[in-house]
Amino acid sequence: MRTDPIRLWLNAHLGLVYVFLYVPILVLIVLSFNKSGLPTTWTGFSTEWYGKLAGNPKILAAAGNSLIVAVASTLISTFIGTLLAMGMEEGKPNPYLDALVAAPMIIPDIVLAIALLSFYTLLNMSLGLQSIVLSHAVFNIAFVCTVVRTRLKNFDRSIVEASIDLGASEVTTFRRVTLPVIAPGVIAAALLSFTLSIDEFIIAYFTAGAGQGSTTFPMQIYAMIRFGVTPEINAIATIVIGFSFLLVLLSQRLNREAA
Amino acid sequence: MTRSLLEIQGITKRFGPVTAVDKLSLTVNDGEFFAILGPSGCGKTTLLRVVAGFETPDEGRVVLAGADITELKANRRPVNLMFQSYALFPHMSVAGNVAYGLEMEGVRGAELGRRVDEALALVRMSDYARRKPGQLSGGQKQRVALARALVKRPKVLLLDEPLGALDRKLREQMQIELKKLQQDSGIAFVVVTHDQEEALTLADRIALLDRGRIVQLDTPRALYDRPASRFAADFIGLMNFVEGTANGTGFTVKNIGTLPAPAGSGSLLAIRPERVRLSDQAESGAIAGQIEGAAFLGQDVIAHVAVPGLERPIIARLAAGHALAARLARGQNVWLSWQADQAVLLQD
Amino acid sequence: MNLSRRTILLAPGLGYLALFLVLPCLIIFAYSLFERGTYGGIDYTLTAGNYLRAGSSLFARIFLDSVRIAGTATLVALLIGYPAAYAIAAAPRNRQMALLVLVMLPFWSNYLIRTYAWIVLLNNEGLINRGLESMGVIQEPLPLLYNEFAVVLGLVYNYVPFVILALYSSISRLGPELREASFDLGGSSWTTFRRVTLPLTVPGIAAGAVFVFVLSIGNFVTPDLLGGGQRPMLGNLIYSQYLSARDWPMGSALGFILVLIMLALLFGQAVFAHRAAGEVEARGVPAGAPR
Repeated sequence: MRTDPIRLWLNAHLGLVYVFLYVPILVLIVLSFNKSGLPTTWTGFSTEWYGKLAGNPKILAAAGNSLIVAVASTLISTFIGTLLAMGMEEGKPNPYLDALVAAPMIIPDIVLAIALLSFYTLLNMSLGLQSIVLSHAVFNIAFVCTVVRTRLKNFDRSIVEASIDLGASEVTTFRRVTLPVIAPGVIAAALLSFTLSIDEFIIAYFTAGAGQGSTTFPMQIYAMIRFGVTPEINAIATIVIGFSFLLVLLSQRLNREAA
Repeated sequence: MTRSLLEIQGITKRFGPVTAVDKLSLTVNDGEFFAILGPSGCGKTTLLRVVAGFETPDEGRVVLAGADITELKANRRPVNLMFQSYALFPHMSVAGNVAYGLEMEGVRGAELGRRVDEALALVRMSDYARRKPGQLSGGQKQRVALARALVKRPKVLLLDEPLGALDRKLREQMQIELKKLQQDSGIAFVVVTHDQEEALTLADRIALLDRGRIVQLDTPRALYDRPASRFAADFIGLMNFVEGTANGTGFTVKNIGTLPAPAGSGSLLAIRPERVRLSDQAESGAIAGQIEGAAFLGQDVIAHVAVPGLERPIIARLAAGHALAARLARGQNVWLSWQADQAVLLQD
Repeated sequence: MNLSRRTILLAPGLGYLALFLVLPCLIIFAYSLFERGTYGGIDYTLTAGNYLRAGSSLFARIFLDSVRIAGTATLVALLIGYPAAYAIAAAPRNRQMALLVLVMLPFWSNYLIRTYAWIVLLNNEGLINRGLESMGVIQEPLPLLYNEFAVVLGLVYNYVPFVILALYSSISRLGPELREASFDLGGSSWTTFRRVTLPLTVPGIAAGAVFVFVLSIGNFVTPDLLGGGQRPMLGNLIYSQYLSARDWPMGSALGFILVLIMLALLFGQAVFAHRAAGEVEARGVPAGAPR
């Protein structure tokens, strides 16, 4: 085995980066099972903080709200974003369209948040979960469109013509050829959209309105963090981390199958 | 007696300022293997897509078995296309791909299974019926694509560069299979290709296209031996060109003299390398030159002979067994000759 | 026929973005040109006052703080990210994907929770301070939280995965051939890096840098939670103008300035990448060369 000092140093650095990335997360997970709830003294394994969560109606309500928002905005944006992607891939490349679709992904969240709040207020729209759904769909449409477009780019258009050549109508072709082939991309896009929506804080915070009833999960977490370090947050964190890692692995798998 | 099956009548297709196909007419006969040959951008693929129904011509008609199908949609035409990329449905099995077109016709149940099996047997892919296209080699994909198109029993099967994606050895094998399949099925095949060798081996007749028009329509033999223009002579095989003037009994070239040529007129003499006779002995009427280089190609040896007074060397092809072939050396004096009737006189 | 089909596909998406993105942005641009009403509403009198006030010393200081903090975070993220991306690109091909997924995985958990983790680690009763105290290294807790250090750390932690991703795609696209050619011609590892790899990955560096900078300067959560309001950045300023001071015109003007900064950076990066791509092409590597 050849020992290349540069290679060694690079690998050691990469190892440290992983330590940097994972230690904070691991600390939260470990602490969530600490009986004392204190970050510094380990008093034994316990799941009582998870039990506390399950009995906290505010957290459960917030989680429920986030689920509603994420599912609704994912449904809207997956449908609209997939159509948009198909339309964009069919025509000539248009830099203005590209820029418009890229905009929601790169515009600072806080700007989108104040713009949407101003817009809703001007329209005298009542704020609540519905306004959060509409707001999340803005960036989700852009992400769905981008993910589906990369799938469409690898899509051999001649299979659509082959289907028509073999006697199928346009509708049959979409149902039996186009949709099944791009489906893994659409599902991956939907998962991404769901993840982004369920994690989003600042836009939801601005467009949720004053009512307690429309507090989302991240808004609840933010309020708890502002209040101070509590062991309950560790338990929430562990659940959220586990859930998001599961989603990522699922979409990774879908991507591999599609490729 | 041949019967005309597909008539392309004065088709023009423009894309913006570009005229891809220009008032083109041709007729494909029943049971014929027809090739449309030309360089890329000559309009051959556009023509194929017009016949398949994927492009609407700006002018002209497409008539199939006496019926005008110009306005008929692609999915209603009794014509099928084998795509260059094969365009197999990646999410369906081999059998599913072949069944697809039949299902569109309403074929169901046992009849469907029987016809799919038949088609797969025809291309010797029965053992792969349950595989997905991603698990097949290039040659296997091509066979499935053929089966998928043939199972519909089209009046005409269109093939877009059918062998283009295969490597050389497989290509030669598939050429023979394709020809056999065409003869057995009796279906007229129209192949589009840029590969002259493919067209020469496969086709009964070849239409050579350039810039949207037919340059020459002939049998492979005639196209090779009697090209009608410099473009045709140059596009198909290797050809030597000498500029000069035909004088009725020969061909006069400045600074050299008279070369053997058939009777006729023309300002360009074309002679195939394999028709050039090479000798290391001075002969009367032969042209003197010097070997510039020689390359061994297996069965043949290609010799480049520099002739004083000619801009480019004359290329001669000798069988590897030829007495001279083994001892060609650079700088060696040689004499070139050919039979008058094996040269071709051209206009430009 | 194709036109109408395409229109049907595009209409819902473009309509949605026009209504919920373009129109709202135009509204805040318009607001930024009006005066603030007495009770927090909008007084529809045209004025350039908001933009002039943005240049005043109070706001200018926050601008400078934001630029400094975002700039530091960008630099640190690049210094950490480049060698990490290089190490991944140099790893065996079948392991690279897994290494990348491992880098991106934490990013997919909630931003607030990732930020909260650092509060647990950094505060006076936190793991680091208590740990060092029990080892006797320090007597008094170190001031790790609620300062600029914590903000930069939080930003780097959250955005370094993106930098690694951008740099990885840039480095791995080079392929080993160019490096090997340089070695073959007698270049040392360091020369090869300095004269071949680094110049060719500049577009990736630029993309990653712009990304971190833009996300950092508009950030709200990290300066709020880890900076404890000690070091407000542009994002916090917009937040407080909207929700505390109820000066929507001023908040809109600041938002618009943030968008301008972002557009300028993105435009600069695009021009830069375009020129670099042309240069690479001239050197004989096609711009779109796969991997």
